[in-house]
Amino acid sequence: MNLKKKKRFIRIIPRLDIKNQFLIKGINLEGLRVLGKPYEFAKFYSENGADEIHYSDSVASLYGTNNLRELVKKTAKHLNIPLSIGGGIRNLNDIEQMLNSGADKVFINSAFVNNLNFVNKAVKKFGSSTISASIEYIKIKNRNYITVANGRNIINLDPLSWSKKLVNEGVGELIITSVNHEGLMKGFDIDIVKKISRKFNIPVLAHGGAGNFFDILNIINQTNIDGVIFSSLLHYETIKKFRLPKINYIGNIQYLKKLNKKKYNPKISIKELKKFLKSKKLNIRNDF
Amino acid sequence: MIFKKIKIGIINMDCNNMYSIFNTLKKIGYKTSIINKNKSIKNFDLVVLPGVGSYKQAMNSLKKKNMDYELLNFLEYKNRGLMGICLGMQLLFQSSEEFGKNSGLGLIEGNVKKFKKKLSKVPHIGWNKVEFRKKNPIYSNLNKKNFYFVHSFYCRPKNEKIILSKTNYNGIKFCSSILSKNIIAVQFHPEKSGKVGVKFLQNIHHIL
Repeated sequence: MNLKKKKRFIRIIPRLDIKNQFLIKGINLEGLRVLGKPYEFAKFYSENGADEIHYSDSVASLYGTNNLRELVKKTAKHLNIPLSIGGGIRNLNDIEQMLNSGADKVFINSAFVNNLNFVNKAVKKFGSSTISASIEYIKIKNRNYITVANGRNIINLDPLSWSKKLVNEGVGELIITSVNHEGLMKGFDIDIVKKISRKFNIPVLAHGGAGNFFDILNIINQTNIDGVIFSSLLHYETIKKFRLPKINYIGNIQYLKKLNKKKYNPKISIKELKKFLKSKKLNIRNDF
Repeated sequence: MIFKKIKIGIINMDCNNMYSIFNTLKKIGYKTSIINKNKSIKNFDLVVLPGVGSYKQAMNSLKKKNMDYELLNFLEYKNRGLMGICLGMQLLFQSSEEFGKNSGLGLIEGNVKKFKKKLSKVPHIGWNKVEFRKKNPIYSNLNKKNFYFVHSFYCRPKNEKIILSKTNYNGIKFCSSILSKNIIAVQFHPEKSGKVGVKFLQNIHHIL
């Protein structure tokens, strides 16, 4: 199916990785840094033209805990654009709690890999447009494997055939993350996204690798995606606008402190990205 | 402020996302509350039928609370209005083909159809232009603005005159809102449509 001629609408989506109520960022989904308070960033992005906000609790699915709820409630109060939540969602009750806390959609990886029947159950109860599947794949020796628990566990399944199974079960949307590219800011892995986005008739979002506006333009033009998800590119600029939270830091705090003192450059923002994409004749919302 | 004087009740259909619409209406200044089983809907000026979830489950929940009957009575009172959002819009119609055929509230003549996968990606998730066709204070300055949609089904009213707006999704022009007497219903989510959506919600009291 080629929707290019029909002028696809492209959603611009910042992703916020969450750990213990804080916004963090890592590389290849690992090696985490605390950047700030998620709702401050989310509200700023929303006012700056984001079409949707994604929260991903990177440790929830590892420890099986789900303490995102309070944060989701707090954030939903500040937002009037869609909020999608992922990480650690294991059953229908978890989904319901997220939606009741103010989430509009959920995205799920591990729980779907563990039990494919869960997809259809969730779709029947909440409607397909509420249920997205997150596919995090890793390339090893020229073969692609899907992974769970933030790229830690490798599953012997390739992303394309896994997508097919998810689509057959009625999932409403696919989020494709290349673990190899995530956090490096060196561009997206286009090949898999191209195949998946052209093959299926549901929305597909690409995540992992955006280092500049041209990377984003490239993946839109070379695939049939409906949205782009990115984080580092934005967060490392936006961090200059807010105070670093007072907590016990681990990792390279000097780097963050230095960054935090620099002047915010409004050229690296969603607003500017949208202007850029609009100038390339893409169908982008810019009446925010 | 005019908003303070208007009492809005959101019907709890046990299928979530009341939180967003509740917050937005409250922030605007409307006197907003959630209508659970026991509260009488008569006390409200405007009743909101929100919507995420499945058609069948939402209908079952309304019937269990006798809300289908209560709504009919409510609309007979003077200066009252009803607003359906997304699934809440679809429920107002006679039937939907979601997971087999389901009957709805039947307040609006017509049915609810699924988008054809051959023509476009389904579900439709994203921001699209809402083109209003009638002159109405409800959408002043909002014509052709982008609103947020998330749905797989769309409404087909029998009486085309009640169509307030249409939206083009990859070549398919569907009815994105209706206005029939004191009933307004929208397929998009005004509570999720940023500043544009807030403006829309600030205008809805005009149907009263």
